[in-house]
Amino acid sequence: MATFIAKRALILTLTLMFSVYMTVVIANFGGYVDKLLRDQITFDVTTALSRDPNFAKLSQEERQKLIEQRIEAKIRAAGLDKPFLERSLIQFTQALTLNLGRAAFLRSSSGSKAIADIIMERLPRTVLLFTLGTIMAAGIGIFLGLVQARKALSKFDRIMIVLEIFTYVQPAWFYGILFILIFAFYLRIFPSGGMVSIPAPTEPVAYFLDVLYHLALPLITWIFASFGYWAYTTRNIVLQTMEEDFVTAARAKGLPERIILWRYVLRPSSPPIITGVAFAIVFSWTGAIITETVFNWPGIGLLFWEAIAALDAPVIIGLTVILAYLIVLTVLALDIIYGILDPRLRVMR
Amino acid sequence: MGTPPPTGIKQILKEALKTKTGMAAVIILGMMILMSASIPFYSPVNFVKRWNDLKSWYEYPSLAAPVWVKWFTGTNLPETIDLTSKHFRVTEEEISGHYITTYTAYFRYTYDDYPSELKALIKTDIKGKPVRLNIIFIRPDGEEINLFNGLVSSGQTTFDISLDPKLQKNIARFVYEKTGTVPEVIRPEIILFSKSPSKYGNEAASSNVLRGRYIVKFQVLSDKKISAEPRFIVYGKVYGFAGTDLYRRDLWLGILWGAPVALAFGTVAAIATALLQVIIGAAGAWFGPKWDELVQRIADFFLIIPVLPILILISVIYKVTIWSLLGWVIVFSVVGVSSKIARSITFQIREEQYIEAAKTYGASKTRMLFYYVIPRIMPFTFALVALNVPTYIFLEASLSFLGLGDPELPTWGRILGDAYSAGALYQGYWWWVILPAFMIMLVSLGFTLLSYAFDKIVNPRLREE
Repeated sequence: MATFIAKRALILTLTLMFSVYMTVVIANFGGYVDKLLRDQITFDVTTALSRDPNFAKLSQEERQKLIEQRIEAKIRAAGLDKPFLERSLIQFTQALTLNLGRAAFLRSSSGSKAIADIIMERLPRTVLLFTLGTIMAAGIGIFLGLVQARKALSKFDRIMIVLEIFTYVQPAWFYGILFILIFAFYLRIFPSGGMVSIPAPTEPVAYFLDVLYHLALPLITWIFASFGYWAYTTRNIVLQTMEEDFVTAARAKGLPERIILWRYVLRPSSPPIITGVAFAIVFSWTGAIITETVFNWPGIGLLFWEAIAALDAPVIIGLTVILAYLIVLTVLALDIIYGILDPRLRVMR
Repeated sequence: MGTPPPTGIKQILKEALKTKTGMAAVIILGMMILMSASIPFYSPVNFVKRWNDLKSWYEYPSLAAPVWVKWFTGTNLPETIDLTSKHFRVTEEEISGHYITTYTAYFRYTYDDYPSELKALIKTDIKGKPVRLNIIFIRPDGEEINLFNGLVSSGQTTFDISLDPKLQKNIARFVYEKTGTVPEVIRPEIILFSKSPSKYGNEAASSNVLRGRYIVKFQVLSDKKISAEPRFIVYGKVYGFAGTDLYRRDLWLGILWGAPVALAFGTVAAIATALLQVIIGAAGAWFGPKWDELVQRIADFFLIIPVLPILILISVIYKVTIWSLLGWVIVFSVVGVSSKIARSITFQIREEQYIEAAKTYGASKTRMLFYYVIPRIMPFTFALVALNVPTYIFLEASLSFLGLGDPELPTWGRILGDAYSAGALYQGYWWWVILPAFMIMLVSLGFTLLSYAFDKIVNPRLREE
């Protein structure tokens, strides 16, 4: 058991390191972003100097020299003079040690450039919307899936399957724009976006209610877009277990259907469902880029989009690394839990 | 549970067609394909170029709803009235060496609402000095409004009656002469078509629309004979089957064009990634534990890497076209659900007798993989491929929605993105959102049903007894 966990941990650490390094390379576009930053510095220095009246008095050669000096100084100050390989290794070690550093362009609303501050400001909002939404969708979906599994192949089951696949195939932002048009513009039940009214209520209870009011439509959208996945997979997993020999044996013994469902079907069916829920919760922390854009929900997804649009590599790396750590830890935790719960796994490895 | 699932590709397609869901899927997708095939009859050859050339849409109304809105609301909403040079009658007079050429046209206005915009255009062939032009608008109640009186030079001249402050001043003068007050906001398309022009501001009600015969006159004064092509456009509030967008583009053409783009992108991406995933997944399981371990690690890698943000990042930096996007999508989907399916099925197949037989006659491992293993796996991925088509269509739509998709092709996602960024959701331009959204939903419904039909055949747990 211990060697199994140690082996898994080692493999996962290596995978994590590889993924983080690849993220560093991709987020910097193999050094392309560095080039863009250098171009930006050149442009900024040249335009700043050309506005300076003293600069115009200098001779052509002196001007050229001054420009070059300033550019070089700025590039060195930004650390862009080192080759990309070296820079990427520095970013890699910093990322692995969760030393997230400072953003290149973005700031938190309190004005901090520290990436940890920026992320911590956004994370609670995303957790509120997406983690809550994912848990509710999973709850509704799993319940539906169980009902369908018991009535498998009935008309209800077949219609639900098509409905579930259909709703799941379309992304949440797609429902988002339709729901905004219907519920915010025409029916005027919900606000069309944002997290609080402007100006925001100052009293805590009113503030809380205001956030709930703004939360409702994106939350409904998220649940509507994802419950189908849970219902359909739960139905299939449970149905698969129902066909196992030990269930047939239990039926042959004449056990009541309730006991068969709870003791013989649900217990072996739960690990894959729990795995799915665990991963979905981890992934919910990254939010959803377009859904948050559509609802103007200032969470992690919108931060990701802002970071990409500004080519803010440190923020992109920071977000990805945190996610990578969470996923790896989840995988490891699930390995350990199943190792303890499922005796077959212990023997196999 | 009854007969074993069929395995041949043809057999599965045949079986799928027999089911109700399969038939429905074929009907929906067949409609889409027909729609795509009808494009050459509908739209000009250089349509893609035209779609992006916003100037070429000037004769269309901006933000017009679909024509069929009339039938639902019961109001006779105005359609565009385009008076081209054909509609104008020409009379010439000569007064002491000067020529006065008058172009007269009339139109009947019987709608329940005001036009959305007015425009006058004139094209002249005069050389040398400019000529004097007089544009006169005569209402059914006999009121005459001098819209423009001034010089025009050769070539095309456009008068944006609804926007041009010079022309608006003339219209304000008309209101002042009639009522003694100057309107605060000058909206020529309302004032000129209103029974009581003074009250239009808060009473732009449809009951106030002046119906009847309107006359437009272009008078050209010059010292030699000239020929001119006048044109007067009364823009409506409804247009075509799908309306128009803010940039006056006919949305129906854009929606039609979106169909083949979406179908091609979705199916090619879905089939290519499924093939790749099956080959990689099967190869891992087929060639032994070392390969299998490698494939598993690649799968972990793609689990950790956030694929959509990275695709967005690539599109921001490189400005993708639809084909380069396709390439990136395939690169980021080398491992996925299909490779998992392929892996587990390959483990089962490995022990089967026909593989043993192939081994005994000395078939190579690669040959066995491609001829005996992979064809066995493919049917199990059919349902997934069908389901992945809309997934990839939506991936393209997601990028286009953010303004990062193909900069040329009109795709449904791009139309939705344009609508979103123009504030269609908050202004109620529903046709700009609902119709392209409906098309995407229809396609994804078609593929969902197809996927379900495939699944029922391959996966006996879904079979109806």
